[in-house]
Amino acid sequence: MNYSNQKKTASNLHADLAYSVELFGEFIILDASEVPKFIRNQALMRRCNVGFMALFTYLCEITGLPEEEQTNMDPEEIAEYFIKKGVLDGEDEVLFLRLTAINMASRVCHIDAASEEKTIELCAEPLYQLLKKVVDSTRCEHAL
Amino acid sequence: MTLLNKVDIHVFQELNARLNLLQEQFESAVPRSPKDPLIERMILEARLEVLNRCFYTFSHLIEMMYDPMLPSGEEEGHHNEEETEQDRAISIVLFALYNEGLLTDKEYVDIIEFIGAAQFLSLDKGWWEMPEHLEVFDDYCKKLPRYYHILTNFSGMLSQRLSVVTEESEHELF
Repeated sequence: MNYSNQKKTASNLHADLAYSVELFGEFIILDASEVPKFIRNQALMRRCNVGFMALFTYLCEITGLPEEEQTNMDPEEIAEYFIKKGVLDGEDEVLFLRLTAINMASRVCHIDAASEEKTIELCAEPLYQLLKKVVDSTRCEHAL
Repeated sequence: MTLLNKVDIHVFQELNARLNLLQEQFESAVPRSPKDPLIERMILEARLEVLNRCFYTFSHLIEMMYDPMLPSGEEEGHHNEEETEQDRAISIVLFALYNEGLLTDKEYVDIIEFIGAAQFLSLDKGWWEMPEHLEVFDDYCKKLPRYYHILTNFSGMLSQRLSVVTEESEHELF
């Protein structure tokens, strides 16, 4: 995996993640009848992607995972590393890998739109819960 | 025309499919409750997601044309110390397209502008929704239709040239 990012402090990255999750939460609870389905799905997809990037960058920062090692590790190894470091629970692994897969899929061509739509309908809520859980569990570490 | 010989037609078709999707979103994404800022934000996010994918596909397409023998354009001041390898390959190919007359001055400048905006709006270039970036973010978002047109112009040029390349290849066969 290879995700470049500007150098920010852990507190900055936590704030980014918190903001991203807040908007995701507002989208989740919005009455689906208010907006066309494909718009909602695409918007939720972006929230998953932005949320994943914010989560990934934040967890790398607080666990001290260097960029060169991120590049050489596959998603399963990264999930195991985060679990070992205690920043993700073992039960979060599947969801973390799903977020990774969604993010990687958006970067490649020939996306299967139907399966993508199904994924987002089934997974948006649990993915949001995972992101929120990390934000809430680490909030006190960045309190001013 | 050697640059275009390397283009995978399927990736080009994928770019066009994504541009069509973006066009549909501009046309049909009318909020049912237009005064609700959250719904407007959702529509914007949906467009950004599709634009982001157009950008990834566009980058992939351009990278296909990369050849280490191409002039880098460094002497013209095109080299940037902070560029990644991918950024560098893309800027070299665009410079080569320009040099070969496949892009006009304006098209070249437009595409460079699009890439800057798309990198900012994409997920992995350091923009993390912080308040200090919101003004730039809003400015870029207002220009989404412009970025769509820049990409469709590029796609149109490529479509025209690719058909020439295909015809040339057929002639070679006979």
